[in-house]
Amino acid sequence: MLTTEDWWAVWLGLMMFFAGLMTIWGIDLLGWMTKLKTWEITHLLGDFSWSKLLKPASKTYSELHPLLSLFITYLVFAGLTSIGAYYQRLDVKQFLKGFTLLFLITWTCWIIGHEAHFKAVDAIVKGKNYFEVYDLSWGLQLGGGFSYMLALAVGLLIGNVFKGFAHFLKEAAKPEWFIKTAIVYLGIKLGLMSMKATGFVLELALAGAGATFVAYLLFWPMTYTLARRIFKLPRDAAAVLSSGISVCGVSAAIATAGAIRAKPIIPIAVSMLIVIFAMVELVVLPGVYTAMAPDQPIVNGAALGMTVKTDGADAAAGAILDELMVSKHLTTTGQEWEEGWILSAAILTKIWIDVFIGIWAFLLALIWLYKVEGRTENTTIKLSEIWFRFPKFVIGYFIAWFTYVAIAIWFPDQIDAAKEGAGIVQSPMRKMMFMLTFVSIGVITDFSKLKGMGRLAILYAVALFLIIAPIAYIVAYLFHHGMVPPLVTT
Amino acid sequence: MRTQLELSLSHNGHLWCTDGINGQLYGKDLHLLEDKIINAINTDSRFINNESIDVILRFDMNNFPKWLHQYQSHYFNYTFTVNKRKID
Repeated sequence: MLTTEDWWAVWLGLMMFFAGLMTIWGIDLLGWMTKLKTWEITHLLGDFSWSKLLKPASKTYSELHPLLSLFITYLVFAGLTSIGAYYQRLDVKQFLKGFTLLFLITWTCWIIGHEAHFKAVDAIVKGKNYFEVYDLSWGLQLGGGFSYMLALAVGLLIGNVFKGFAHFLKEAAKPEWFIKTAIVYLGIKLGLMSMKATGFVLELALAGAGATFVAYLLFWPMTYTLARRIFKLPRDAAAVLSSGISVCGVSAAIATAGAIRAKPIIPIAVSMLIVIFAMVELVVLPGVYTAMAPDQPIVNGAALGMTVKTDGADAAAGAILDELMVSKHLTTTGQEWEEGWILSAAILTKIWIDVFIGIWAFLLALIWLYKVEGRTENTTIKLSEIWFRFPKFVIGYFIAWFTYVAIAIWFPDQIDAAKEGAGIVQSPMRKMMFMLTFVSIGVITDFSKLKGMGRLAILYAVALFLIIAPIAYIVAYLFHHGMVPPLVTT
Repeated sequence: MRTQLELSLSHNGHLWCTDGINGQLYGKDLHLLEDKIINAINTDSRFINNESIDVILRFDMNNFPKWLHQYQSHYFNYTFTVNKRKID
């Protein structure tokens, strides 16, 4: 419980979660966290001040200089992640150096991304229209999405052009760890959202069950058949690829390879394909879905959850989609959807699929051992393997979610106090972990690894874009068409 | 008497390999490797009094690139049992 990334997402997540709960007793342990402000370049250069860019997250710490707040933010997260790195037996010195640089790159991108010409939408948001405040004559109107896209672009530039620098950062570039921690923080947001719209949240959660059925019982057999019949892959490669592309990416590929005892080169090759194609999906799909169906936000989110095959890329794509669709809807209709619902649709769908990988791998192991290989003597398959493969970060996500629901039900007079701490964890902290994920995911993605993959890469592309993506969208539409996030109320 | 024997398992790109009983053993697939392990146990005087031996094969994650080490709980370690009847 101390040596895996999965568990450290739970520890990091729950540490901040419990620290945030202290506001119920009037103790603000997290208000030092830095928040960004929307700024405009000529206004900033005219009279520079860090307080135009950054501020501490809560009024308790309002006297703190913004740079000191940022330094404390760095110290806390560098310290906690370094402890996690130590227990995961990473090179802690190298991790700390890499994390420091990643932190700097992340915050630089995030600050730039908050420039009004990129971020501001020409509509009233939280009582202000920044187009009017700064008298803007043009703007990309991308909301927070621009920060994410910039972070991703910078990460990809480092990963594909400055490969020596990427290698230096690799010990600290842990997108799956950062995004799983962010997802635990998101559990708080889902708890708060449940208080407002319980039926909606339940519907999102239950519809994920449909996604599970589709992923395991439709995508997997179709991809396996395509791999065996058309592309003539051997059984073990076909099974590993089918799990990776249909279910939940790298963990599914390796779990399947483990279950059927495939030699290591197979899950390694498939994992590389998964990461690269997940990056392609992350770059392409949010924009495509926003343009294709601007009035179907939850459909788009759920479709992402079934199509994008790593937790990191799915959450990242969901975050971009959320920002793009909310901004677009605000621009075209003047109505502001609450942020986070589209992202939650993407994540809830994916979590349902993740949760069953242990059971799937167990079943595959039984089928392989007894039917495919016909070996019944000596070897046993233990039920405990289901637990080993269960995505542990989901535990943290559900703890955070259900705790806030429990507060709403049993201690309703404490909700406002609880929300103060929750707000810091589920907003600036969560978004910072998302930003770190975007930079890291770009750093570790090297498109040149596709060279030599030939048949496997073509099969992956065919299965993903011609089978999985269209069916995922149809299923998402059947379950979610017409569902829209609640509107922001002032 | 039952005992346990833990061996490291790896793959060199062509063959599965293990070490721990009188040097390294290789097999094109895992059943062939298991057969060689059983034969090695047969001829090793350390196990002469054992009725059965649980052989635990632990996969060496250094066979995976570092960025995949976090998934080590998903890949396999496994146990197979060698019974005295087989030794005899």
